[in-house]
Amino acid sequence: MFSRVTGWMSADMAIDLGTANTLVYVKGRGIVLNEPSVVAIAEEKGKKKVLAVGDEAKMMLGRTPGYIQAIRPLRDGVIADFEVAEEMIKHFIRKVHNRRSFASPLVIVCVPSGSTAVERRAIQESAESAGARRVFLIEEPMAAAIGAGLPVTEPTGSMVVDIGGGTTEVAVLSLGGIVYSRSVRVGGDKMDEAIIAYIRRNHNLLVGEGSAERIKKEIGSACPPEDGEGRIMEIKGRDLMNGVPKELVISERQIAESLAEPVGAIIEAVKVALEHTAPELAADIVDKGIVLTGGGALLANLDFVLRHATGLPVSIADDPLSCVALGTGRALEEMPKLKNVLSTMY
Amino acid sequence: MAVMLRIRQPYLEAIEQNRYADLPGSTYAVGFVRAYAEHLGLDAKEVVRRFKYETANDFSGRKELHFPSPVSEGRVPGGAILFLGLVMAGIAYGGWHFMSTQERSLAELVPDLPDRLTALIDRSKDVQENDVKQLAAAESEAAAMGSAGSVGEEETAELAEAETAAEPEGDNASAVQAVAESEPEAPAAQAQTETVQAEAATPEAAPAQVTQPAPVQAAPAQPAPSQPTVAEAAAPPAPPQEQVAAVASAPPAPRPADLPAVPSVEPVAEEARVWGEQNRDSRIQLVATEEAWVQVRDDKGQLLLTRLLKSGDTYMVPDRPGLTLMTGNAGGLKITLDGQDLPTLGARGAVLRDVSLDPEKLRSRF
Repeated sequence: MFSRVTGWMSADMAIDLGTANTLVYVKGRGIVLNEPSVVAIAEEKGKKKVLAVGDEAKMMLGRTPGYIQAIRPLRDGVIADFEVAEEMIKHFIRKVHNRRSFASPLVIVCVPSGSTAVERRAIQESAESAGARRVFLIEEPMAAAIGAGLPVTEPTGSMVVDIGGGTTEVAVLSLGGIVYSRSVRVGGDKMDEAIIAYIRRNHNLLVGEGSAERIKKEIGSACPPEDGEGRIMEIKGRDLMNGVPKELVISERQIAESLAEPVGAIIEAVKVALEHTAPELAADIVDKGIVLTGGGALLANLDFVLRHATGLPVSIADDPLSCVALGTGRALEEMPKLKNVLSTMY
Repeated sequence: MAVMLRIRQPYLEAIEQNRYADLPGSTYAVGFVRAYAEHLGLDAKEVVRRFKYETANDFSGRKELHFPSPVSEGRVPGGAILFLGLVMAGIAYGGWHFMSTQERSLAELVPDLPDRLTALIDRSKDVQENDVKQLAAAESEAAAMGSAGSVGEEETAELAEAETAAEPEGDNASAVQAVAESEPEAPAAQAQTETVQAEAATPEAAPAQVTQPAPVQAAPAQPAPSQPTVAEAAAPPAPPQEQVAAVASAPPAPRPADLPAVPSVEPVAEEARVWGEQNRDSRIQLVATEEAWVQVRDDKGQLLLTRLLKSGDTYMVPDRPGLTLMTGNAGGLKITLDGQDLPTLGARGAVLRDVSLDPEKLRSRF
């Protein structure tokens, strides 16, 4: 009863707790925060203290002295470091939440559809201990589909592929529910790793995660260019042979080669999902196609590759990076109506 | 083209011919347009922006999401229950309000007890006393309006017995010794001395008073409520004699002293009594013409007298400044100042507080 009263004063929020980025949507205000899910922790006299969170901490990633640790508390879409994740959520809530009101907010957090009950509970508990009044969970593909504006509640099949930092969610939705979903632990991170491995293997050069991500964003492509090497980029790293820093030029074709494996995994996941789709829904999907959301959708030519691999029309949602956050936010705004897409672990 | 983009030809035609209503949905339509534009080598962002601008009316805002929800089972609607409850609460309140305004004087003043009933109460009290003689100690105290502890009284009685028993035997117990000291001074018979000692043994009695030979004399010196018992016991000389005789004859019996004590008290209860006899020549006397509760305090708030004066009872007010009187029946109390009656302080049954008992103030009062 009391919580209902204080609820009016608190800024309820929806959190897209992603592996790469965390987005916070505040009721009535839209997306107010979009920062990398990175926490820098300093060890001071044996005590661990949060030094920086978000953009600031991401700058420290891979560049820290001994007493500082830059941690990404989420791996593969789930919480890997419970305490650090809690600190991060707490920080974001504090940053976003109206300091004037003492009330604790209602929070909706999205979870990968493939996450286990233990992982969901971990996310819910860390959100609760971060100061949430009430925590609801929403499945990521549902949030992505709502955010992309798909007619999820109609009796027609919609397929959404959400390529996030840690996971790729493929789901077929109809009548407000998930008919089939498949979550593969391939995403932006795996692409970065593939790039690092490729450069190390072929050029004996070790590049950091940050550099790899930059390469992927600038010249990354799901398929090699039709002719020539495509765009080129200078990359810097440490030479593995003689251990000195080195700079070399890498082309789009090479990166496309390196990304072939994670892209293949995504295609495979989509194909498997299509195989498991009921014929009626498959007919709908043939008509309307697949919608790509998530940061991975921004990889050049990914829609082209998917289109050819599946033979279905593939479209990229508007603003794919914030689809999940928008969808979660919409669930928050229309809480009474969209109540049945929300769940709680208790 | 449709094969390249995998977009069905009717949709591409619809885009070309601006038949946007034929497209599956805003998200898909935008996706198709973007793919088409990219394929044609156009600026996809610009084309999509224009497309959105053109179709702003067709795909108005975001589509409402309607989740299919199961048909609710037939239940008593919550709203009806709430409404009914409110109505009933309103009726209940209205009824209460009506009742409370109609019968305003529910809490009437308790009427005075008729004299007939008060007489009954008094009589029943007397009857009780007569009946329950076994509860002598406590009862006799109540009848005499004495507030001295009945236990103390009993103890003294028993002490007296013990002494009377011990005396003939010539026993030299220490308790007897204390008593024995006063013995030579007592001119009366052995039994009588014992009675005096028994009285003296009550906590209030001073040793000096005990040594005085006449029990009547000893009594007035004591303002304490145990006085009456003493005074009464002494006034009719016969009963104590009997009492002690009885005790002497049967020493092992624990209570014989108590039993005879009662008849000695009772006749006195009917008569007019005088309180504060030590203030024999005080200037002010309170005389009850009817039953009146009286409380007298000194300037420090110390209680000097608090009791119900029966008709005819007199209280001799000590000559001290700063005494105040409180009475529950101003009309039933007559104040005599220097032997001269003053008019009553108030009406019958009137309660008076803090009436100064200073002679000058009393005089000026009338």
